[in-house]
This record gives sequence, structure tokens and C-alpha cells, in this order.
Amino acid sequence: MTTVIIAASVLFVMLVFVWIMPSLTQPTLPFGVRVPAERATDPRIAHVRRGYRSTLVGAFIVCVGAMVVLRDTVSVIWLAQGLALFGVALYATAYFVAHRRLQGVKARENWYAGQREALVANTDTQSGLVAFPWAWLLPALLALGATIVIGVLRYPKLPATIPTHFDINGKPNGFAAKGPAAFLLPGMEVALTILFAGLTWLALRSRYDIDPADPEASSAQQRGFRMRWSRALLLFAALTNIALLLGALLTWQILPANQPGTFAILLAPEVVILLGALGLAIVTGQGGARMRVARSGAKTGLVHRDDDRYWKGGLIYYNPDDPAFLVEKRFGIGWTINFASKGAWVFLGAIVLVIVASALLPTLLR
Amino acid sequence: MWLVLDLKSERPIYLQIRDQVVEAIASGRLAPGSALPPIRQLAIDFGINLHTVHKAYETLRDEGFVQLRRKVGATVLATPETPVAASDWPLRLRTLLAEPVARQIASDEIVAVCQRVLDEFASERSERSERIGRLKEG
Repeated sequence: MTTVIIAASVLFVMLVFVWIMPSLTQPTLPFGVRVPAERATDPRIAHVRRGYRSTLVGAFIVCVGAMVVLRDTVSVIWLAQGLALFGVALYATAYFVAHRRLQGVKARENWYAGQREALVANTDTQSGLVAFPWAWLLPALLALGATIVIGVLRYPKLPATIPTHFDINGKPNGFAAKGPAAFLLPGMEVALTILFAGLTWLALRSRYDIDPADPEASSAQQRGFRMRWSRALLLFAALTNIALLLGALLTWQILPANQPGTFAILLAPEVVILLGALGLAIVTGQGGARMRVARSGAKTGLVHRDDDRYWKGGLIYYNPDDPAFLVEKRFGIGWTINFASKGAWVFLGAIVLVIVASALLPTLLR
Repeated sequence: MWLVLDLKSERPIYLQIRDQVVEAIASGRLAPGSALPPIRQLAIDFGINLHTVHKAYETLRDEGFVQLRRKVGATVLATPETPVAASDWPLRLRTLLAEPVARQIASDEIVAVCQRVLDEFASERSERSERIGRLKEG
């Protein structure tokens, strides 16, 4: 039953994110389709959104129902994982169906006919960029510093082999020589701190996607979005470091692994990150779409250019002309890469390397 | 300062950038010696090809409005040079004025419109220098 509960919770958390997402994106980008501002309130968009949401809820109920009903008839682990994956596939299908439907309406009725498409840029953006919030990096560095200090003090007292893996009841089931194993988690903290800080730095420099209809308002939203998320990302780095510090305390046998509640303490930072990200996403919206900013009454008569052709499925950006490699997502919170730029592939390769390395390291050390 | 590219316009994008920079110099929004954004930055901000921005800046350099230097980038010249190719504005003005004349708009009306445009540039410039003066005093 535990396996079913875990799989169902994962599916539920994802349901919350994908269910709420259409309300968090820019109103002129429903389901990754660029529409002129005057069409953003078209009843067909609301209709597609309702269809999308009921499909999601239906998919969740079917998958979790199947898990509960079939849990004793087949291997429960395979069943839960398989149905969770199937549920995710259904969520994705619901998105693509909504995307295609809106694309169809837009193309049939030629929504961009007679619109004045424009691009705007502020030549003073360099001086108006949100500065890297160094002070907010401090908590992450403190957690990292604490890990290193405790590690240095503890290391001489550790036995030759230390536990590196625990089962769900906190019983150690993997051991390794302390030489490499004790450095594993502090090393991961260093790598993740650099990764988080680097991503924040890049995100702060990413293009402000300005709506020519009201450049000042949209640039205020973009600034606010970067201001909030840069700080949040650095706090998430601190929470991640705290989670790794707790893990290190387990392997260094400072924190008892077999106590009830240890599991909950270890999980707490991740839960805070998840809820924090969800809360921030809801109040801020993608690109600051939900932030209240002063609107200028002046009508420029311009609309954002229809750039759908560069977005495969509304999710994957491929534009060889665009020198930018980090751009804001259309459907989702945060940034994605321009798959047509060389820098993007280097960036992607580096991230994959870090993930693969941190996944393989424990196995290599064993 | 906002730069706006109208994608439905007949005028090529690099010339639209050029036009707006020249207007900004005329109205004092771009002071002599001030820097234009780096080519790469502006191309990223618009999401357009680097060569388009490069071409706009080269045009501005050839017309004597900005200086292009490695590392420093593009800066507005204190006194615009007037190369032969750029001094043809009376010719272009002729083409432009031919339009209202052909539409049989009266000469003094055309001159009034011209004067208004010049006044706009002048008043924007003086407003700006007043504001800078006040900032220096305060």
C-alpha cells in the first residue's frame, strides 16, 4: 500500500502543477499558442481549458483507481510505477490536444490578420537589470560551511567503513570505505550550490520578453519575476544543502537513522521547496504574468510577433536566428533553451554531466 | 529608450533601427558620447539575427553618427561626421516633400508641419538638458 500511496502522491503533486498551469502563463500564450491580446478572452480558449482540466482529473482518477484495485493481483512496484508513468503520458496528451485545438482555431480564423506585429527592446536594459542577490546566497554558503566544519571535526572519529544507503525503516543497507564516502555529500553540496548560483546568474541575464502593447508594464513584470525567482532559487539551494547536510549527519552517524521521524526530517526541506515553488508560481505567474503592475492607458496598437513557428509543440524553442540561448518557457514556469544555439547544447551537456555524475558516484564508490 | 521594430513595415529592420537611433540623437535622448547597446545584447533582446543589428550599426557608422570600436562598441559621436554618402538628406527630403505637394497640400502648411517636427526635437532636447542641469545642482 505504501508504494501505491507514494505513486499516487507523486501523480497528485504533478496534477496540481499541470492543472493550475494555464492560469499562470501569459494570457496571450494559452497552451503555448501565441494569440493577439484581443483574442486572449476568446470563449474557445476557456472551453479548451475546461476540457484540458477535466481530462487531467479523469486521468488521475483512472490511474490511481487502477493502482488501488489491482494492487494485490500483480507486482505492486511495477504496477505503481507503470501507472504513474501512464498518468504522466495522459497529462502530456491533454496538453498537446489543447495546444493543437487552439492552433487550429487560430489558423482557421487567421487571428493575426491585420495585426501590427512588433518587437521592442529597451536600450537601457543593461543598467536596469536585476542585480545578482549575493546576500541571498549566504544561507546556502552557511549550510555548506556547516557541513564542511562538522565533517572535518567528525572525520577522524569515523570507523573505516560508513553506511551510505538506508532502507525505508532507516536500517543501513549499503556501506563504503570512509575515505571517499564521507566526502560524497559535501561534494554534492558544492556542485549544487555552483549549479544553482550559475542558473540564477544566467536567468537574471535572460531576455526580457516584452509585450509591445504595453512595454513598461510588461518590463515591470519581467523584472519582478526575476527579482523573486532569483532569491527563491538561492533559498532553494540553501534548503537543498540542508537536506544534504542531514543526509551527511546520517552517514556520519551523528543523526540516528532508525528513529521514527528521521525520514520526515530528511524530507522536510524538499517539501518546503515544492510548496515554496508552487506558492511563488501562483502569486507571480510565468514572466510575472500574475503580478499587478501599473498599466499605461496609452494604446500602442502593436502586438507581440506571432513566433509560434519557432516553438515545436509550444514547448521546444528552435530559432537559429536568435542569439539567445536561455528563454522564458511558454507553458510552464521558468526558462528553457534555444535548441538551435550552440551554447544551449554545451549548457545542456554540462547539466546532464552533473546529474549523471552525482547519480553514478555512489555506485562507483561502493 | 524603447526601440520598436514594426514587422509589417516595408522598411527593413536594420533601417528601422538606424532611423530610431538618428531620431534619438536629434531629440537628445542619445547624448553625444553615450553608448549603444552591444550588438549581441540588442540582437538577443529582439530575438533577431546578429547580422541585422550589425548592419544597422555599420550604416550608422557609414553615415557618421556613431563610432564603432572593438570592445568599446558603438558610441554616439559628439559632432557627426558628414561623409559624402550621408549628406544627401536634401535629396531625400525632396522625395518626401514631393508627396504632400503632389497631394496639393499648400506650401505654408507643409512648412508648418516641418517646423513642428523641428520644434519637437528642440523642446525635447532643452527639456532634457534642463533636467540634467537640475540634477547637477541638486
